[in-house]
Order: sequence, then C-alpha cells, then structure tokens
Amino acid sequence: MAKIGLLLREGPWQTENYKVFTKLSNAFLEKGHEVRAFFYLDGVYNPIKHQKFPGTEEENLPVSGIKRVVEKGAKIIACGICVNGRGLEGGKEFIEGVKVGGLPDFAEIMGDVDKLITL
Amino acid sequence: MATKKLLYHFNRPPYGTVFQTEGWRAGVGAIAGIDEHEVVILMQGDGVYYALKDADRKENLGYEQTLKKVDTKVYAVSEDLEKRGISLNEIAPDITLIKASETLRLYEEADFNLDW
Repeated sequence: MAKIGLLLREGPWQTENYKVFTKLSNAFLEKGHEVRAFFYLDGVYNPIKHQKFPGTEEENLPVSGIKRVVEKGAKIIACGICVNGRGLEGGKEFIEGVKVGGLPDFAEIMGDVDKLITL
Repeated sequence: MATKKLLYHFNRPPYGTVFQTEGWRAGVGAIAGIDEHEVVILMQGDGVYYALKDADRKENLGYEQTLKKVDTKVYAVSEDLEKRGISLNEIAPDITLIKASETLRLYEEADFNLDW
C-alpha cells in the first residue's frame, strides 16, 4: 500500500478543490492507502466547524467531507502561519483530528510519501 | 523519510495572488526540514515576469537568499519570455534561461512537482 501526500491550498466555496481532496482521499483510504495532507493558504478554511450554507445539507458541507476522511484515518496538518494570518486563532474552531503545524511538517510529509498531489 | 527532488514551477504571475510568494516560502520550508529536500525553481507561463531584472523582489528576498545558500537553481523558460515580448537584456542575471524542451529533464529528475 502506498503513502499519498496531498497539499490543499484552496478554501471552500471559491473553488471545488476541497471536493477533489475529499473524493481522492476517500478513494485512497478505501483502497487501503495512507493519506497525509497539509492544508496551506486558504486551504485552512476547510476544516472549520459550524459551516452553514443556504440550501446545503450538513452532510454536503466542505467540513463534513473533511471530517469523514479524518474519521477514516487521513492525517491532516494545517499551516499555523496561514491559520493565524486568517484570524483562526490557532485553529480552535477546527474539527477534531486536524492539527496545526508548519512547513517543516509539510517537508516531513514530502519525505515520507510515495506520491504527492497538489490541489 | 527520504530526501526528495522537488520541482517548484511558478506558472502564475508574480503579483495579484500570493501563490508565487508562498511558493518561495514553501521552498524554504522544504529545504529546512530534517530531510533537506532539494528544490529547483522553474518559472513558466506568466510566472516568467518575475525574471525581469526590474521586478520587485523585496518580499521574497529572504527566501531567495536562503535558497541560494543551498545552490537552488532558478530557471525561466525562454520561449515564454519571448512570447511576452521580454528580451534577454531585461532578465535578472541570477535567472538561468532554459528552453521549453529542456524542462522535460527537470520534470524527469523531480520526485514531486508542485505548481504555484
């Protein structure tokens, strides 16, 4: 089984990269691969709890997709400078399982994984 | 854990979004980790505007200097400069020109490539 790294740099609602991230991660995890992700730039907006959007069921919210892949075993680290730069106060509103780190963590992910996908 | 060869290709214009600056920053992050990855910078498409000798590089200067200390190569695709009417005497001396066909070698040598 392979180790897959994903770099997500786009936030929810502006692009659909979060959907691609969620679908790819699900597919990798269901095949037994390991998923390690780094959320960078606006990508750090994806794991915020309490998202709401008119006409969108809770299960279809970006954060719900992220939560499902975390529950399946995806390891996610968000860039701390990006988090605090956007006023997210150390990721205190993040769902459980998403950690806050830094670029050295991303460097470590790249050293560890077999494949890397940038979104 | 292993040292990886990373090709950072800057495709977007250097100003108007944070991508190119954040690419520089992430380049420094990549060489600073335990694995000490090797980073190569390739400017192509609208990314080549950064190669202009009069480009404002103040924001990235620290990142560039750090990457230079580990001999990071910085390339710009000559055809993409030409298409934008940029002549050779307008290019900063620390940027190496590379033909589009020769960039294939960079992609082949890289373990991972990251677009910015």
